[in-house]
Amino acid sequence: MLKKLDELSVSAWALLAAGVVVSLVILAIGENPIAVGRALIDGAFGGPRRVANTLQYAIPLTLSGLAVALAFRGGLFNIGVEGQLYVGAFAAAIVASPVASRTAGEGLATACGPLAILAAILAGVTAGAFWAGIAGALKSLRGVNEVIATIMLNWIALFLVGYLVNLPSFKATGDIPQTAEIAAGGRLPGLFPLSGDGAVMAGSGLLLALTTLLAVVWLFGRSVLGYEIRAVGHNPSAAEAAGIPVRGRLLQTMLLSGAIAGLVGADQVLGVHHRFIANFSPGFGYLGIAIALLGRNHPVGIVIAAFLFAALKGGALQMDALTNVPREMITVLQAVLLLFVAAAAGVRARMGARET
Amino acid sequence: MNEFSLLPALVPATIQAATPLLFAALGGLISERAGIVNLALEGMMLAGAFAGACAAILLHDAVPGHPAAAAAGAVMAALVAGALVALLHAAACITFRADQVVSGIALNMLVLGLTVFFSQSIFHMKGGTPQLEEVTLGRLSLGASMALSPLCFVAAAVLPVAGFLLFSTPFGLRLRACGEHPRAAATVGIPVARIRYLAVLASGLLAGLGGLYLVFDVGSFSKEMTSGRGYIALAAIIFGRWRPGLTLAGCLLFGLAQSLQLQLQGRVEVPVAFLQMLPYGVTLVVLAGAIGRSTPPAALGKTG
Amino acid sequence: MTDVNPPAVEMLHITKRFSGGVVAVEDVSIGVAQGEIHAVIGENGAGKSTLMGVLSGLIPADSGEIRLSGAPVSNPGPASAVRHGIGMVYQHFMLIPVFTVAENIVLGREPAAGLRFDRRAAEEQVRALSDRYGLKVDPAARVETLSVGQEQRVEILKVLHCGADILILDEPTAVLTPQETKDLFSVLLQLKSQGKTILFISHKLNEVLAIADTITVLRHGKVVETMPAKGAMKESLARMMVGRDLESGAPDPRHPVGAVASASAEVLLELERIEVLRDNGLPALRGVSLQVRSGEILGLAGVEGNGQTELLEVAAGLREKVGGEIRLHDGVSGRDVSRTSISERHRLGLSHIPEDRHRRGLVLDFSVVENAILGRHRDEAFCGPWGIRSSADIEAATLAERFEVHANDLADRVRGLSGGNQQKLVVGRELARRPRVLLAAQPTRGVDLAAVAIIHRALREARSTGAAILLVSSDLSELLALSDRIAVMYEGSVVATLDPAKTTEEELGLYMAGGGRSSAIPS
Repeated sequence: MLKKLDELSVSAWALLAAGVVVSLVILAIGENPIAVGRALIDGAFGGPRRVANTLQYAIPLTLSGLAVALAFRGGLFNIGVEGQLYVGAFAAAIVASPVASRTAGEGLATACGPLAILAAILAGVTAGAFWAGIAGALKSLRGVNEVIATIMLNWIALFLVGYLVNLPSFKATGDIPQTAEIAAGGRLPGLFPLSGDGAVMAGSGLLLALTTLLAVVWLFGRSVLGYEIRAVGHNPSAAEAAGIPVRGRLLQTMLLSGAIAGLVGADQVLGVHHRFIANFSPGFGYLGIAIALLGRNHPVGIVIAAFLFAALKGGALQMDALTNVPREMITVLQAVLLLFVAAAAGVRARMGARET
Repeated sequence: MNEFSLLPALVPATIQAATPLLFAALGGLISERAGIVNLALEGMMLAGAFAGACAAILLHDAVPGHPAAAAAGAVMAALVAGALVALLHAAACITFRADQVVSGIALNMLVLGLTVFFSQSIFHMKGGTPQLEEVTLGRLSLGASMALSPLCFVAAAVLPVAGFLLFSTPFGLRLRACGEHPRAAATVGIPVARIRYLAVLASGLLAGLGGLYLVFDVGSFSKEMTSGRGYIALAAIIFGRWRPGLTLAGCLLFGLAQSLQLQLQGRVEVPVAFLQMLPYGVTLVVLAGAIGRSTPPAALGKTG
Repeated sequence: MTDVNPPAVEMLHITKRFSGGVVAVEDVSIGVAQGEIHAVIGENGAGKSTLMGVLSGLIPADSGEIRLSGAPVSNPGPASAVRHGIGMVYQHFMLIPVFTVAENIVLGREPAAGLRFDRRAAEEQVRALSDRYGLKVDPAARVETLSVGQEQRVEILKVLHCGADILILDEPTAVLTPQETKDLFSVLLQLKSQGKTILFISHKLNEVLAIADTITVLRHGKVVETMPAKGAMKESLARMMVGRDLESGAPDPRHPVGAVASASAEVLLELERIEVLRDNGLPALRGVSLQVRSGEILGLAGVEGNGQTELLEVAAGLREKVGGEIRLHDGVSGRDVSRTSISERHRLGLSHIPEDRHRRGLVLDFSVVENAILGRHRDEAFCGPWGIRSSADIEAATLAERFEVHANDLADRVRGLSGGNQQKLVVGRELARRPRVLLAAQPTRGVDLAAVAIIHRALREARSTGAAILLVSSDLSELLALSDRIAVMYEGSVVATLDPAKTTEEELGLYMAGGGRSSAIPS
């Protein structure tokens, strides 16, 4: 555990370097980096509502980081979390809307609520796993590079859900491509009602994220399946010689990763938007890649990285409002960070490698 | 419009859709033959497209009445932008030995962020640019029914040049040696790092032109306008077994899928969304069929 | 330093440490006279390869100086070494399989016609060079189609084409048959007669005494002594290499086997008419049949690339075959396991020490504990309802003690262990299964002598408890020391089965090269 945390030093250095670079850019466009930083921090943590917002945003980011990291551990690069979470979100929405809204009568809705929620979550998880499974099957049966396959599947997923949400049977009335609102009984309940008007800022998605986190910790800490997945990830030839079914594990790794991605979508639909909205994700799946790498595929690291990114998101609005730095600066910062993490990891690996 | 008018339109449309893919794929081919995985093609294309569009618009505003000069400036800007992204990729992968896939993904994110950032600060638009107006590269006619962008002919000319360079010159032999067995290359005194830098740089120049093609084709820059073409170009390389001629075939195939999508819209009883999926679906299917018969350079993607 | 005839090569006070503070060579100084064959000998890990890597510019030294004919080399590196006429023939050949022989040889100095690479001129140059030194090769052949011996010739030609006057050969005979070794030595003597200076790295004392003019012994990264080869004694050299007298551990050439399996002992592994194709579709195995009985070691001799590797992989379940049967016997009946999964074969009592421990034997980024149970991790002993049990730690500690695997911490990655310790871990793990049938491929390749002794002892113990062992080794003395029978493979067939007590390395070599009388003793 401590050794793994030591690896996070790579991320700390990268973070520092990226901060310096971005500060220079901010200086170059005539702004004060310190003022920008202050606005960022204020936007992320200034007051309970903003803290709750940051927390809420950290949930999908943590899950998405876990999804990418899980695949990484198995030697696979799942760039398809974005597509998988859309497919998962849509599946969760269509299961949740009819069940919860059509069972007329308050009593029934309340009685069916938990079951409806569970069914919707399962649908999201299954759909996400299925979508990732396509790339997984192509990889394990035909050796297709999963990076290209998942990117192609992302585009296909976007067009697919874009088409489905506009079908008359799913689309809510109005101009916006979205499904009908899920009845109250079919939503994920909130945990901490923060204001009098009933707006719930931190949903029970927090519990889903925590459960998933613990499951991943167990998977890679103790479980035999995790052991085998890691063996395949590090050295498929040795895993094969040890009697581990490599192809099966590759497929299962992708399925598990996609399942977590589907959970991201289900949580957003059931706990946040209460319906499926086209293009609802601000790139959670892609941010998950950066988070997994920044967290060095370590659960604790991923949580820290997810909170960092969530804080940046929250702070970005404030920075945009208070300074002349547009919020897109945050995307640039995240990409620079990712590049530095990759470079720092490369340098570290070279220094740590035994030659001969 | 009837079915009979489809074919004559399809040929130039396929060539045009294949052109940006071919630029990127040839660039990727050179880089991968030298052993560097190039997922950054997408970002290089996008950077080339954005820089080209900016140069065209800003030069035209600065010196109105000289659209040709603005177009030339756009070409230069696209080349420089592609090369800059390539330089970052090369530095990360070769000097710092970063994971090549991660570096590519990071650069693609970076370029996406930067284009939105600069379109905001330059044009006050959300990730796009205004129209290029009369700044164009013009069209070269090929018979009565076909008029193609000059860039199509450039791409067609680069193909044999790249093939000759890689497979018929001493430099090409050395470059391929770097992709097959860099240590062996180093032991006979070949400067592996320098050759790899050059190869990645070449891919940046070519992919930049591929991005520029899109801008002149559409008439403006829009957010994420490359829409996965860099990755499809990589698929074309895999389909083409890392050989220029077959890679061209791959680009034409994917170009056909792309132009079919446009040509079929409104003519067939298939929802537009499914036609839009076509290029990506075809890529998946082709990859599933191509792999196994396709062997990458032995040292491709290996750090250190 | 004199003005008259300075040594061709001087390495002065060379020190190289690898990360983690591991000292590879420390304050080593060597002088090599122009036109001599200078052998550098030492155990695995003594620093020979590192030292030669420094000389060839591939490994930068931490401190020290290199002088060539008295002149200090200012800017060491591979390119500078090539310019100074230093050429190295590496143990793992630096050849590009998909290039032709000529392309490999002229790489970096290609003849050109205008912009074009002049392939015909390159082939002409190679032909001239190979005639001049008597090294026969086909310039137009792809390297991936060559035998190991031919590849070595290409390597030597490559170095000569670079214009090397100083040749370094790193363990050049490790992969050769005795006949090929003889050919190599006559080439080396010819090179010497043409004024080339040769550095020859080896740990085979007979060869060194046969070919070298001067011998330097390295131990633990330091020079023990440099002496003329004339008058040097094998025993004293061995003592200097190891640092003590060689005792029981070293393989003795004529082993008195305790319990030779009688011809009536039960057959545990049976391979019948096995046929396998290579990746390129050509046959790798042409109908090989073998039986291994309980309590015997069947040695498989052969030049690498003649099907031994494929045979073991087929038996282990790592390679598809196109014909034949593999039967594992459990005392009652033989069961064809051709379609049986690897893990099921494990359950039937099969164990496998793979040829390449880094590729097949270990997950280098796993800890010692994790590697100690690799392949047995689903056994009830190590696997409970909540995952892997702490009994794995105990198992790893037991293995480490029994097989003398030296690791600072069993939670450390195996990547950081020495080759010997890694191999002992693999051997220990596979034997801990108590296999009925053991497939052992190159079990002592690249490990130090102490580890060799431990591994040999373990194999003998397994035999005495009734295991049937199929042993592949390119070290003929190892085969002769351990085997009860030796089968020789040539071009995918077993060409002879010999009694190790009645044969010699020379006779084995003859069969390995495809000659010799037909089968000697029945199985």
